[in-house]
Amino acid sequence: MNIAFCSTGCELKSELDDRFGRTTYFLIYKTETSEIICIENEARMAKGGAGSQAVQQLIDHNVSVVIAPEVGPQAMDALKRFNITPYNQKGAKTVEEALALWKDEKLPLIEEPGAKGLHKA
Amino acid sequence: MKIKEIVVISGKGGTGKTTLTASLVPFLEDAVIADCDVDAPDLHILLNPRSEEEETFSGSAKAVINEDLCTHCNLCIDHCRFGAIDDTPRINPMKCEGCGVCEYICPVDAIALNDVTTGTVFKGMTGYGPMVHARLVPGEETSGKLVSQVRNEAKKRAESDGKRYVLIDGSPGIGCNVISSITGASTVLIVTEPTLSGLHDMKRVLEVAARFSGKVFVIINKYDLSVEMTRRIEKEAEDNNAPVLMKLPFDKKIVQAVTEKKIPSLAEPDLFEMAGWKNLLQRLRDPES
Amino acid sequence: MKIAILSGKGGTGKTTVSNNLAALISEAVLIDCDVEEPNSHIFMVPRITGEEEIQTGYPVVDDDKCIHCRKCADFCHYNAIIAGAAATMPLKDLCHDCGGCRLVCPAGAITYEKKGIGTIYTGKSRFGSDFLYGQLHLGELSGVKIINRLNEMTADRDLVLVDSPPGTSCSTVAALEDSDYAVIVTEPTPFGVSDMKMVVEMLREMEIPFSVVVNKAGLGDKEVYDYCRGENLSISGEIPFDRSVAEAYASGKLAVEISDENRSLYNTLWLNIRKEAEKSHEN
Repeated sequence: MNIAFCSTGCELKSELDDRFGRTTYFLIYKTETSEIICIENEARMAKGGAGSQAVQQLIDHNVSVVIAPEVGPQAMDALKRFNITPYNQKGAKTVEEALALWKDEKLPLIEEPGAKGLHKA
Repeated sequence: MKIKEIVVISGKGGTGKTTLTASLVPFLEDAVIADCDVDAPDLHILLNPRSEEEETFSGSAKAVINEDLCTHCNLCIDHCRFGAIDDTPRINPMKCEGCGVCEYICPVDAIALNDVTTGTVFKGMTGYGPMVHARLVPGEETSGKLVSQVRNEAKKRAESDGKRYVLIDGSPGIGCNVISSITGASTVLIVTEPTLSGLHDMKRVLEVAARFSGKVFVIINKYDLSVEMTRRIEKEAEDNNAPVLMKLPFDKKIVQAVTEKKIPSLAEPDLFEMAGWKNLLQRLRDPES
Repeated sequence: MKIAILSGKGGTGKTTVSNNLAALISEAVLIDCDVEEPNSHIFMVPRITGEEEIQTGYPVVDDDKCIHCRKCADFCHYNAIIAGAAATMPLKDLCHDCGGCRLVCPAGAITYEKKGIGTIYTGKSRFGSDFLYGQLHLGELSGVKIINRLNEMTADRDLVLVDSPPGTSCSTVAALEDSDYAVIVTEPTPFGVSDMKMVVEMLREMEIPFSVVVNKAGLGDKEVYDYCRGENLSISGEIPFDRSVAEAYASGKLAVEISDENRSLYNTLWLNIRKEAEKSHEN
């Protein structure tokens, strides 16, 4: 299974990014192999619709769990539609910490979308 | 240490948001200043940054027709939903939304979509710390992208310089750009005025701010212009858990200071002192106090 | 004749000027095109006689017909369609209604539906003149369609005053459509000067003749006058700062209601604007 983190860098020690759609990187952790892939978030520089473009990248990388700060309502709908489960990164500072918390089932699900995203073009 | 972002917003324009932001600058030692009011970037007028770096910015794409290739089939005109193509045919860049339909429909590939410069990001140094601001090209829409770019640059600078705060002059209005400028902020400062439209807009901003985890405070500028409206604003703010930390009277001296390009809180310290300045600064440095 | 009243940023007095003029000139229709934050109705207090919902289109994907080729998602410049192996999902709040996705879909799986983005209210102001304003729903992308419709609805009127959106956004450009003349409201502070420069640039590019009104005159300095002289811009009038007017404004009252001096001030202003506007169309 592939888990994505909103990260400011490309290592497990990197700090989490506090944005979803405009996060700097998505760090993807493969649970089967413990392999990590770092993708530069193209949506970061999107003119508009960063959240939806971010979801598109998660779909393209077969992600089924994303650890994120807030997720806007549109991205939330999209995550549901494509069966990607969002967990709240609250309490973790780095990717490593968030991963450990997630493994211990200590991260809460994001059930409600946060504020509307920055969807102005 | 986590950098604290303090965002000043107002809803309606003209309430004194920039005046207040500039006034805070000398008192928040250890801050990087970001002007996210890219429609009317005025903070630099009072802070006078020495420019260190300029970067053009592309926030949109526009179609261009190569007249040599055009066969005047008019398919592009028929398909454009924005009325952006005249009978020539020529594209009006002010109306073009960069959707790409004309480029797609053109049978002779005479149309191309080009990224255009929509603004400039400036990085510089003021007497009180580094500053980032931006300016849009007229007719261009503010984008969440430009606002977040200014903010990111300021944050990066705060990290590299080891600063504690990023002080943000937020976008006006209540639209997406405002949301863009308050997302993730630790403190939101709403500057309002005692008018019906001031109250109306503050309500909407409070609605937006309520969805974020940061602290929200209110400043009423020109409060003495309507005691009645000031009371209504105070009540609304309290009901929304946003304490009113400062009430500044209308005084020509403040306008005078701005006119002389002076920072109002330095030029008129007594006025600010009496309005609750110390209390405000205290709460900004330590929101829980 | 259609006259647009604009400003570089909010709060300089665009609504003050347009509303005082509308209160004075009974034959003028006032339209409030600042659809994101309309304020004129606070002063006009209209008796509403008509409402019209303004709509925009958005795509709907027929899952039975969709062949998951992703062409629509690749085409969309607004990231308004997400496509995966399992589904194709349009996001209507991001859609600009350009029609592109339907055009590129090889399977004919996309149709367009309509949704409301705002409302236009038509009525008579408390001064007896015609008044229209638009209101965009919170969170909607663009008010341009509402503004276009406001312009269309008043196209056959002899005298239209437009309360424009502040700044120089696409909404402002839309509000200026078919305007014969424009008035920039500014204030005599460094902020006022800085903010009006972009508006001047925009109006020149659009080839719309204009003049300047200096609001809150007497508060700041001479920089705005020097700028206007340097750029060869004519000033149609000055509105001195008056504390009693500001206080009245706070409770929804207009300057022309509180004293004869103010009435004659706005009368003179109107005569000047009209004269300048007519002059600009003679040459």
